[in-house]
Amino acid sequence: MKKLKSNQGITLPFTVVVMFFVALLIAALVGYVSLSYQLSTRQIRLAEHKIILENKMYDYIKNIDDIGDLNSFPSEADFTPFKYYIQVFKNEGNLIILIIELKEQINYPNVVLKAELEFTLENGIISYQIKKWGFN
Amino acid sequence: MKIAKEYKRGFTLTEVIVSIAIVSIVILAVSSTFLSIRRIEKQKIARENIVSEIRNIYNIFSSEPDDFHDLIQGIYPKNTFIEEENETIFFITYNSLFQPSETDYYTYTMKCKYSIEEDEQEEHLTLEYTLVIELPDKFQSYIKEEALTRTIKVWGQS
Repeated sequence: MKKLKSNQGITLPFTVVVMFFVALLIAALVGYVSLSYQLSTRQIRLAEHKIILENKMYDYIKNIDDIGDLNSFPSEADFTPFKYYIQVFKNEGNLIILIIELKEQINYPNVVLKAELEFTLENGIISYQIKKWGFN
Repeated sequence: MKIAKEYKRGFTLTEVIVSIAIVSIVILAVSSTFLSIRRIEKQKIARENIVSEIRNIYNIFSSEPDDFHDLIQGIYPKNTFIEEENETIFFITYNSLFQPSETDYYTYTMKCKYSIEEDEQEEHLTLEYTLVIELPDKFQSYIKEEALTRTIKVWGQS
């Protein structure tokens, strides 16, 4: 009678296959973490830049000083921010200020902070009210 | 003629040593990957919390710069503060993930330096409210310095 005998121990192909799947698992885990970290970093950077743009906007508003009339707002040239570009428009007496962050990296979206301020001049005192404040 | 095949039973010493070495390498790789992942995850959470905290504090400050003192006391009841000549320094405590600490046990302290500068010109008072945030040393590289100072100017006070 023929007796069937199985191999004893682990064969080399089996070891190779197991090692391959373990390596695949580690690679998938590292890939997932790396991707999730990149996405999170992107979100954090966006939030960080929004804070910075708001700070720059308040800096710009702070520079509006000693104004005799509402037509002499500081120009873009008076405000020399690093890495930022400013556009100022007037709309029916209101001032629209756009602060745009210039691209630092390829594929990184520009963040634009748009503020609409209503200035009033009474008895030589200039004051403002924020009508709109938001990012787009 | 029938040749009888002989099968080896068990493992040789070399096989055992090689397999132990391979298993050790795999365990080492998996555990170091896992530890790195945990560290990166913690850093990520801390960064998210720092940005979120700074944003919240600046939102409070921007909405009511003159009432900042009372508002911050209401939101962070555990914080302490000292009043110096020109500024008030608030100390807000956080745990290692930079979540506000609700207990007396905390790891890190963030400083918020709040100051008001008055400028009186021709009977009109102008106020400049400044809030400078100082992060604990460990977290200073987590956010750009430009994000940590805000000055709000208010005209027309009399």
